[in-house]
Amino acid sequence: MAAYQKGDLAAFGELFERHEKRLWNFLRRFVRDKATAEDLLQEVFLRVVKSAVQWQPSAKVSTWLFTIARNLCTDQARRAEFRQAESLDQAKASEEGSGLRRLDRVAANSGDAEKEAMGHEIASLVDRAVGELPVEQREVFLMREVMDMSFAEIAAQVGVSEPTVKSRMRYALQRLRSSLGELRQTTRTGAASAEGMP
Amino acid sequence: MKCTEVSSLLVDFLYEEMPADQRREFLAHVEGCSSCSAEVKAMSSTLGHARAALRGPLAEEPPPGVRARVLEAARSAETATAAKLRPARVPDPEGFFARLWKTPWLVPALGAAGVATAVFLVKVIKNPQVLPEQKPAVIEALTQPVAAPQALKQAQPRPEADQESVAAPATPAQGLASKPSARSERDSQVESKRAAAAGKPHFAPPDRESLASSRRHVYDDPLAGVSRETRPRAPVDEAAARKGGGKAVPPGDALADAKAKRAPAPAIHANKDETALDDLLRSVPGTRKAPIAEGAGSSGRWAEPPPPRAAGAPAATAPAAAKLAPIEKAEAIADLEDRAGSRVAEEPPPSAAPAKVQAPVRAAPASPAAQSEGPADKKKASEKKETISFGERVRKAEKLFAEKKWVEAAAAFRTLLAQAPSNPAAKTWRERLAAAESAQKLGLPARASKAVSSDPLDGL
Repeated sequence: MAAYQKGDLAAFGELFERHEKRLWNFLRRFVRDKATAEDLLQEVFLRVVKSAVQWQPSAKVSTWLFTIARNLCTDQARRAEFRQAESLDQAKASEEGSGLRRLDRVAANSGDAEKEAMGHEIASLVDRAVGELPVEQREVFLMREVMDMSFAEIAAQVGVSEPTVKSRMRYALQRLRSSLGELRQTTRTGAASAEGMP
Repeated sequence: MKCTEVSSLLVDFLYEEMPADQRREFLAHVEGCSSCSAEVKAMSSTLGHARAALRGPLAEEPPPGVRARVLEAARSAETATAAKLRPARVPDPEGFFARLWKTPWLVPALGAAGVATAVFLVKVIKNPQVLPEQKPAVIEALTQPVAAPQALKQAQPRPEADQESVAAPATPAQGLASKPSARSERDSQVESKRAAAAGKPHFAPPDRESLASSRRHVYDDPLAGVSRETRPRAPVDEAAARKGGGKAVPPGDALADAKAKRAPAPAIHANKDETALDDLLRSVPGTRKAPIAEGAGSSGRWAEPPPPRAAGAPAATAPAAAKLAPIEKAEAIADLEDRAGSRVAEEPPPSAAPAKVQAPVRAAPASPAAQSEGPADKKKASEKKETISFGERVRKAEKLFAEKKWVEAAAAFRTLLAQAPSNPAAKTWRERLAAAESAQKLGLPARASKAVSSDPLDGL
């Protein structure tokens, strides 16, 4: 970042490479809409470009980037409450019950097709369950699981105490558990009905 | 450990942020409690599934378009920033002298200075009166302006310098112009003698003194020997007089008075002592020009420019001023006293006195013809004498009072009070009048004369 401040454009490219994947996954899981996540990722780095002069070397670049990303996501989540746009990335209304996405319908290269299909199902369930978490729990869960931030860092970033962060994390896990339990139950029911079929 | 505590510490256990002893205690409770054990297992499984999903199928690569757009934006921002910062980073190609050269007033100022210097040099160096042996000194003086007067003094010893009260020359050129050369005078005399012998008119080149006097003439007052009251006046601006509280003052005189007020008062004005007055009168050579006009360098007061002449009136010349010499002493006394006292006082005598004072001023003759002895001139002269005698009367009254001639002193003070009741010294006059009258009645020596200051001009 210091090199980019001095005008080194290649340093900015390196900075982008280092942080783009984690930021992308955070945004992607947070907003669930791919196009919106793409816009937000671009916006994060554009803000970095604009505010590069103001950056102080004492601040951690990753913290700064995630702060920008989190602020953008929070604003986006507030806007989404009033504007529930349907995304191509989301499951179609007709396929809402199955939870399948277009991405999930892409054939996998793995040989273990059943295991792969199960993994995708769990992933889609997790994705949906994470997306349905309240914003406070979602951001804590994603910061911890996607961005690998400690609870202390999350607490500092969010502006709450560490026990509060842990409490939010516990609630988030309970919600995920219930979502995955539904999946387990659905899977068992589906398997039983398949066995009972002639 | 209780089940509620296990529930609250579940996250710390899953993320391994629990101290070892607490972890042991936690595990001991979970092993003994089936519900807590199921809860921990379920939560651990959920977290495992979620983590696997997030780091497996859900871990996506960012779209390549974003990278290209972001890098493009960064590049354009960098270009814009560089363009914005470029003027500040680039050193100013115009240095101090380049900017100075562009200053609009510099070229005219330098041109004017150059022309002035050239004219000055041409005048000094090409001056025919400058002797060949003096030129190096002049050039040296010009090249070293600070040491110029000393160099000139060394180059031109001047024995007659103490005879003239001319101040030290302001410039080397003036100094040269005002110092005649003995050799040139000698040459001129020889030439004039030869011309006289040959019966031809001799046109000797003007000597430096005459040149200097002719230069000074521009600034000197041609009426310097003439009393201020008898100088020709410009038409009085009546409207301005009405505005100015009734005192009609011609523009030229107003300017002179303003200059006199602004200029530092010479010693002659501040000195109230009678002996000082006499000394000053003694120091006046033939006319009043010396203490006022020529004493510019020594007394600190510069010669005043001539007042504007009345329309049609010919300029007064030096002979005309010389004709006024017989009344010099009386005029000088009146003038000095006017300056010291009654004239300095803002309020002139209200009744007939102002008219008497102002009338001769307005009707003062301005030409030699006006100096002829006509009836009008006699009348004006008598009025002038009356004007002059006011100061004299003050002095006379003070003198009579000091000599304890009570009757005469009282009469004199009465007259003064009648003429100028609003004079600042009127209070003193009244006190002295009362003292004189009481002493006259009692037939005793006046004690008030001691109480009151013995300085006759003190009340003024």
